[in-house]
Amino acid sequence: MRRLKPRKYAQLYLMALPTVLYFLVFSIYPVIQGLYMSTQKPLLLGGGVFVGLENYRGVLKDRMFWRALSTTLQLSGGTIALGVLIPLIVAIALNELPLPRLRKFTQTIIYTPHLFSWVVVGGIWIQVLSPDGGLLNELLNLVGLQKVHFLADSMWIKPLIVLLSTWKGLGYNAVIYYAAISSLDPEVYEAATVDGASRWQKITKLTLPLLMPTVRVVFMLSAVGALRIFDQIFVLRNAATTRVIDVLMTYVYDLGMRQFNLGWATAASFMVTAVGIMTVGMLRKAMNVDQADLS
Amino acid sequence: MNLLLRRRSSLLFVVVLVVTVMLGSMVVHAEKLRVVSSISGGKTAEESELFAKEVGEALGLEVEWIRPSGDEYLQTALRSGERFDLIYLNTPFMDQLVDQGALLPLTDFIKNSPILSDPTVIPTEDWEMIRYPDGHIYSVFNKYEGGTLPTVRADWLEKLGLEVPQTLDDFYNVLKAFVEQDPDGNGIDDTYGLSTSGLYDIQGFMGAFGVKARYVIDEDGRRTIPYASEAAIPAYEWLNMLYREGLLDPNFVTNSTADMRNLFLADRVGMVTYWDMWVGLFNATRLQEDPNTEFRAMGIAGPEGPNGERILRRGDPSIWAIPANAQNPEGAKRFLEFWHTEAGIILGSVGVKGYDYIIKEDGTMELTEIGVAHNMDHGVPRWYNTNVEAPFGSLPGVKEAEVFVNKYATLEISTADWPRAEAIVNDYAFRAITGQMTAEAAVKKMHEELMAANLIDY
Amino acid sequence: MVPEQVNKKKSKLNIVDLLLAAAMVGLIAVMVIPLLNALALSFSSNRAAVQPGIHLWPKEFSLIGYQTAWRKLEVWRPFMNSIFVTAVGSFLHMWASSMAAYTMLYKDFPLRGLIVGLMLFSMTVPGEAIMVPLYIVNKDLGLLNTYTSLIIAGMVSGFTILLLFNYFRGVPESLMEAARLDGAGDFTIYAKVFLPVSKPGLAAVGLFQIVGRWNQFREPLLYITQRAKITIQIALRELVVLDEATSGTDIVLANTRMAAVMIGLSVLIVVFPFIQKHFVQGITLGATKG
Repeated sequence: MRRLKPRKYAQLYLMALPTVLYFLVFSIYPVIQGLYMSTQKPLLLGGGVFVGLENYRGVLKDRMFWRALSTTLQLSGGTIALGVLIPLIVAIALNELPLPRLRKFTQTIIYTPHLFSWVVVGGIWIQVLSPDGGLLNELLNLVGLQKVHFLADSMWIKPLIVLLSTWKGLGYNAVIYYAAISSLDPEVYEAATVDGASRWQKITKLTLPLLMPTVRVVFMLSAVGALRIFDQIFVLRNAATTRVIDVLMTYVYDLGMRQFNLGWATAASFMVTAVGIMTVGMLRKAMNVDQADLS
Repeated sequence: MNLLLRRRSSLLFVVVLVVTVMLGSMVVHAEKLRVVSSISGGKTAEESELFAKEVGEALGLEVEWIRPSGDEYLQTALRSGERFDLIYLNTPFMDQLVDQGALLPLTDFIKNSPILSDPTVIPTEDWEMIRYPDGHIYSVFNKYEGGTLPTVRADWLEKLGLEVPQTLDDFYNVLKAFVEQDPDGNGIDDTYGLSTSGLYDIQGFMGAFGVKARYVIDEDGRRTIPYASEAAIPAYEWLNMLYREGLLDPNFVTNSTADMRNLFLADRVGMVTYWDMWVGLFNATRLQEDPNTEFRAMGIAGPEGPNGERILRRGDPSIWAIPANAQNPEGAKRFLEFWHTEAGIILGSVGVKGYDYIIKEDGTMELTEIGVAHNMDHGVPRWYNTNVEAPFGSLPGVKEAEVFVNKYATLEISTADWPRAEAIVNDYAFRAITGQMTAEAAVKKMHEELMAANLIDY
Repeated sequence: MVPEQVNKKKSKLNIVDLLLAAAMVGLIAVMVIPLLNALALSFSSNRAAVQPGIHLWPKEFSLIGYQTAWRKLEVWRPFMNSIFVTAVGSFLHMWASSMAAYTMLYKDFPLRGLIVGLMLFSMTVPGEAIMVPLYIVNKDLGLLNTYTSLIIAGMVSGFTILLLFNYFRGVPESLMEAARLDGAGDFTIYAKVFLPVSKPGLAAVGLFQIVGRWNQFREPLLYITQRAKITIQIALRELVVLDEATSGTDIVLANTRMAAVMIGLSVLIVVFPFIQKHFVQGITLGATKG
């Protein structure tokens, strides 16, 4: 850490100014305002009546809130599980592949969906899954199976969300894993070969254990956003499935923007934030993940 | 002596200053008019500005016309204290606003307005549709709201030698024929019998079972939702039959109204449920493409119930209201009157002068290319004012459809809770119709949840 | 470098390798086919777009989808708006965040603790929770319906500051000493010493900003209502996703929708090769640190 003490901090102040101002105005202040709003029953034309913790009580008593929580955990759980494991398998497979050009090509291709917005991914898949001319149903038709309106089916929609989220995020995590594998020490592997270890043994006894830290990081990255999933639900939901895949953030959004109940919406979102912070904190302790030293 | 004089004159000075500022600010405020409407207005960014200008010129005001691309904007803006003079609403939101006293009562204004109280402009009984139990009216109609009804390809009926269906069995047979007999003659098995946009306009079919959409409230104020009652079970079963046999477009669950219209216009489906107005627009669109087309859309009354009853849906009034915190309510009121005069009607229907239409030398109106594309709908495809003739007459098929609507359509009753109830009804109704649950189980669950959430009383 | 490769004989491919290759090809197929489908439809004629069957190649090639989307539905406007907002926003983001990262090098800088605190705070609060309050802030500052509101949204992020801070830490003190001896002030040191050295990190940040801003939709949804100023994702959402009733008589078929989707990802495709280059560095830095 630098121990320099320049005589004047003047320039530093100026340089830090945009950042500090931004955070104060667009981060801190809105949160305080939001907290204030969560204790109000807001009026449609602005302003409000103080109601204390009534909004919080209302949310906690709402069946839909708990349902949204359950759905969030299910969908996030599934996405995280698949998102941590499948890319790992893919990365290891990529590493084992002796065809460098195929490897590079695969990496590039699988990474692309990560860059797309969910509006784009949604648009593409809504077309593929459409029961009227969509790719998947046409294929089913060809082999004599019945068409299914996947996006409107209450049974299919949850697995679909998990699968599509995995589809989108697979490449990103796989590349992280692959980069980690690439940075493993070759000498260890050479020593193992000398000891007569098979390919499979090298993977299971060397690569996997050595990658555990990376797995933890990938898991944490995914878990942090677990309670906040929103975009894919918002884009893919429709009248038939909206209650089935309602998650915490869409619950909050609908409360605030569709049902005009801002008191509840802000109360709910603060509870979710609080729980989220606590969960992430606990997970971090449990997994001993250390961030870059900031002190 | 001098001191006293000075004090008095400075006091006078201050008073004069304050009064001038007040008057001045009133004058400044009176010049602007802020309007929010996600439906009425220009269809493109460019046209929106011209629209605002034309309104401004007619009223002698500076008009700001905001056309948001979704519902979120209005809610958020109002909540954050933004002040508008005029807002375009639908009834559920109006219910909420009135509940909080957020809208200006317009009862007296309407009574005293020569234009709005004139029964040839707006029939007196229609005002009852938007009158609240407290006796007040808080909004003014935006346009004439027709109703929805089943709309069929009359040319296909002819081609296949079918009669206009009257009973449920008739409908089944007609839809089956559409699917099996390739009425559009393109050799591909790609035609559906019926398509809808979700559950919006299936009232015509539900009516055959005596089931009314949304709420029914009895004299004691007890609420129920017929779609969640036992009477609805055979209705869902019938629709499920259509779905299973491929007569109902599987996409109906997620179709937007645009999707459904496209299917109908592209010869992919023989029957849809939609606005009476659209019977004419369907015909007009196809005629524009090909003046010799055989396409003919026709509105029909829907299957009749066991006692010959039918129920169709009357559209929710689309309305303008003035928020209680409007800065220029007088200007807003002048707009409301203007909107129902010929000039306002032309603007709301045909569009902006010089952009959507021109006046030829002989004084007749001619649509520009853009005007044709905009199909004379800038928020007011049909209006109340019987003194204003449609410049190009009525579109083919509309008058006939209107007859059915007038005969069988009733207004649907909403409460502020309806959106939540609707979500529950939709959830299970879709499952019943697509066969994921039996109709009986679906209705049972619907009813249970609605009761548990205190959205119905019985 | 992959350890295994060094030892493997390049000649034989055994059965396992072939299976692996097949699996990779399968994976590629799953990733690519939906995209291909969209691409094919976007280049199809109106008639071909509604034909049933598998579309992996336009059955009847036509640009009508793109023309309809671009001109008739005026998608060019949101496209241009997004380009502008993305470019300016990304640049400002990099500039403000990098300056803040620089100030953090000085442990005794009085605002340091504040910055760290603010960063952590901002990284834990979800945007959704403060949606309406943010709207009010923008309104009070007169920023509604301005490009500025979109540019400023997310102007600084804790993650970027962290990433750049890690980069800056790697700069040898000697360079700084030398510059200071030459009489350079902080800003000059930042500009002439740190920035050039951190080009890869900055590039990575910049690229991710471009992607993130191009894909932004919550902010434009709330702050922009004048149709002239909406951005590409909002325009796309209306076309492709919304279940709403519309009163237009424009027939929008699959080809136009997919063309709009393609327009919605065009910029990402352009930026992609650059991301490839810098991605590994940026992520490796983050990942191995953990």
